Amino acid sequence: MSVSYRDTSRPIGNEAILVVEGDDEFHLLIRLLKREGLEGRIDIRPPYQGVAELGVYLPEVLAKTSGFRDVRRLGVLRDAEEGGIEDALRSVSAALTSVFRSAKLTHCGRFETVDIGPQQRVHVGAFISVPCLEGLCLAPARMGADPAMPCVEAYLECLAAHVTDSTQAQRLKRRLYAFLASRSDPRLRPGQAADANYIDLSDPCWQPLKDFLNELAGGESWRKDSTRC
Amino acid sequence: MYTSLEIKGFRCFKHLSIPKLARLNLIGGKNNTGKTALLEGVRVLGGVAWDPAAVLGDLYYPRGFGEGEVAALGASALAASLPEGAPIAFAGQASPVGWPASVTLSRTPGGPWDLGIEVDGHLHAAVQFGPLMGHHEEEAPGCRIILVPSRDRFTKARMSRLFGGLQKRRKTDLVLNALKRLEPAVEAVQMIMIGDEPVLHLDLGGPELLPAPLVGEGMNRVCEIVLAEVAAARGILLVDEIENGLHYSVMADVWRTVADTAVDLDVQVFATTHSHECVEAAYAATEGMPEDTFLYHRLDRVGDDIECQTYSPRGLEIALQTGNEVR
Repeated sequence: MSVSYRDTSRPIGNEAILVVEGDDEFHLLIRLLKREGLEGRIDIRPPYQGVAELGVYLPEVLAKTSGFRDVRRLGVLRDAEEGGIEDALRSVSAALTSVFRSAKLTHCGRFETVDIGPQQRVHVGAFISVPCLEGLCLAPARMGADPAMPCVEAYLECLAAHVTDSTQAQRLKRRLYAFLASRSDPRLRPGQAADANYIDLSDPCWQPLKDFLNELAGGESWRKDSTRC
Repeated sequence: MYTSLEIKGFRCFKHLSIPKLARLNLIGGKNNTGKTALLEGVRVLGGVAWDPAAVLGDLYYPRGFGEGEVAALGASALAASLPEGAPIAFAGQASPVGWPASVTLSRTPGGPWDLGIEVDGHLHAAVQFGPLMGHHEEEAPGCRIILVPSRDRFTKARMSRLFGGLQKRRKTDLVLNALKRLEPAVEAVQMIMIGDEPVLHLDLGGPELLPAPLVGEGMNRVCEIVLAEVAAARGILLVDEIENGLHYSVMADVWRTVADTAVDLDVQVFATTHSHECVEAAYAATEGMPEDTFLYHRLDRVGDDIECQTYSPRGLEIALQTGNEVR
C-alpha cells in the first residue's frame, strides 16, 4: 500500500500501524519510511495533535477505525518534552490501557505483547524522542558544522534574552526552523526539507528510530521468535 | 426516544448491539453492512404494533418496491426472505412510556408469523403477522415512525397524505418554518389539485405557486424530509441515504433544520449515509448542543456478523480534524 501525502482519510490497511504526534512529524516519518523501504509495510495513521489528545485518539478514533481489528503491531512516536522518557512512557501506557486493558511500556523502543479480548493479540511499542524529534533533525547539521549554524545560534542567543519561558523542546524547534529558514529555499517544512536533503535522514543519529520502525514492520526478530505475531 | 438497540436474526444481523443512541443518529458503513436493515429494525421495533401493514411496506420501500408492488407482494415475500426457525428479535430501552421494549417474530415451518410485543415489562399484544396482516389492536402500543427511502421519492399521494394529516392537526406552519430555515424565499406551502391528484406546492414569491417536484431535486428531497419529520412528532424519523439529491454545501443547513425540528417536536432521527461531507455536516450542525443530541455509528462486517462502532462527539471531532476515516 503506498502512502498518499494528501489523502489521509482511509481505513487501516496494514497489520503494522504507526501513530505520530503532529503534522511535521507525520510528513517527516513518511519520508523516513519510504527511505527505509517500509512504506508498504507500515500504515502511518493521520497524526494526533498534542500529548493530551493521545488518551482520546487511541480509544475513540484509532481503535474505532475500520481495519483496526486486523492490526497486529502498533508503534507510537512521542516527544519526551520536559518530563523525560519514563513520564512519556507512562503517559503512552495510560492511553494504551484505554484500548488494551493493560499495556505497561517500560522501555523506549521495546515492544510488549498485549491482548484485546481473546482473538486479538497486539505488540505495542513506543519510541520516545528526547526531548523531541526536531533534535534528531538538527544533529547532522550541528555535527557537520554547517556554515549557517553560527548565525542560527547567534539568533537563538539573542532571542533567549527576550523569551525566557521556553522549554528545551521549544528551543530545539526554534533552532530547526531557523536552520531551515537559512536554506536556499527558506519555505520548507521538515518533510519537504528531507526531500530537499536539508535534513539528512542517512545520518547515524536516526538509527535507533529506524531500528524501531523495522521492528514494527515485522523485522528479523519477529520472524525468529515464533511465539510473536 | 430509544437509548439502546439490539437486533437478532434479522437480515444480515446475527446479533447487533448498539448500547447508546442519541436524538440524532447517523449511521455509516460500507455496502452490505446493514445500514438500511438497521432502519428497518427500528421501524419494526417501534412501529409494528402501531401499524403492521405500514411496517411491512416500509420493509419493502427501501429495497426499491413501490406502494402497488408492496400490496401485491404481501407478507409472503417478506416471510420468504427471512429465515425459519430462530425468532427474529428487536429490543431497545426507551424513555417514553408505551414504546415497545421488544418485538419478537417467530415462525413455525410453513406456518404464519407470530408477533410478540413487550411494552413496559408486559407482553402487550401477540397477533399473527402473516394471514392476519392488517389486523391489529386499535390501541396497540408503538410510536409514530416515518421512513424516507433513499432511491424512490415519496409518491404525490404519500406526500399529500402526510400533509393532509398535518393540516388536520393544524401543524402545517411547522413545515413552513422548517423549510424557511433552508430557503427563506418560501412563503407558503399548500396542497393544490393537479388533475385528480393533490400536489404539494411552494410559494416562492413568484406570480404562481410551484409544484414542489418542479422546484428541483434538492428542494423536493428537503420537502420530503421536513414533512416526514414534522409528521413524526413524538416519534421516529428514518432517512435512508440522507445526502441523496443534496449538494454538500447545504448539508449543514439540512442537519441544523433536522436537529432543531427534532428537539422542538421530540423526534428521534436515524439516518444513513455514505458521505464524508454528511458526517462532517451533522457534526458541525450539532456542535455545542447537549451531549446526547448526536452520535455517529459505523457498521462493520466482522466475520459473518455485523458490529457497530459508536463515536463519542469528542472522538468524532478528533477523527474529522485529523483526517481519520470514519465511514
